[in-house]
Amino acid sequence: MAYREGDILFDATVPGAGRAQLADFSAGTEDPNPIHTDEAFAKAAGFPTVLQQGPMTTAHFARLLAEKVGQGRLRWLDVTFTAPVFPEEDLRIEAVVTSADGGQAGAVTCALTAAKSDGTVTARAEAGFEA
Amino acid sequence: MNPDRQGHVFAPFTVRPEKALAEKLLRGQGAPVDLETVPPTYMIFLRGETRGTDLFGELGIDRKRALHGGQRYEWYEPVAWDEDLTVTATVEKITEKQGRSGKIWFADVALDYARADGTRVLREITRLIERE
Repeated sequence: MAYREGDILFDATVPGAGRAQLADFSAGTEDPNPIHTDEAFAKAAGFPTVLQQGPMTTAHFARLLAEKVGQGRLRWLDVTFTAPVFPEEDLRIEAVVTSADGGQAGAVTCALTAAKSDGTVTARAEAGFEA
Repeated sequence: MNPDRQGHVFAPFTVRPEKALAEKLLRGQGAPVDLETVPPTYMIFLRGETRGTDLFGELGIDRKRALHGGQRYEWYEPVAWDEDLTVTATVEKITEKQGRSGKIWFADVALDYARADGTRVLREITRLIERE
């Protein structure tokens, strides 16, 4: 498929994950960090409640990219977490093509963001895939 | 954080993707439970902790003062469900900065996932932060 700079690959809203989902994600990634599941621990660490896992946003980015371009075409994904996400907070996830090798088959790069409904950006990323 | 751990290479450990864990990962993120392929971010540095790689302990990171700064994945080859991968974790870089309320340390840890024949299928870099 031909991609062009500025193409929107996706613009999706992922519903907020509740505490049971955070517990599943920790179990599924073998994450022993209580900050995602233990309210008292999260408060002692200076947060108002438990934190959603950063890698959950990475997983959203990767899944949505894989659905759009095909998992076998993904080459790299580089994510920076910029703000904490708390339970039940929806995330709007967008990906825009930043370079597309002149629209020819080949390497395509895109920029991704995850943002809360108030506009707070919680993660930024770049990714590369084969067209 | 122990800055002298820069360059440290952990003893390799083995990971084989498990559908039961992948299902929890997908349910956790609210995604359809499609187990035809191993989810792209199934492999994650955290799995080393239950397999003898005490990343936080080795780096001297207190979880109450820790933040996850970011992650990078580089996919080279597909990973199959029945495939044992050997994982080698390397502390690539540790830097220290002065923040407004004290020191902040940044550690980049790279994990290389290889098949039995030595083919690297995946590289994951995780970026850990500790506040003073």
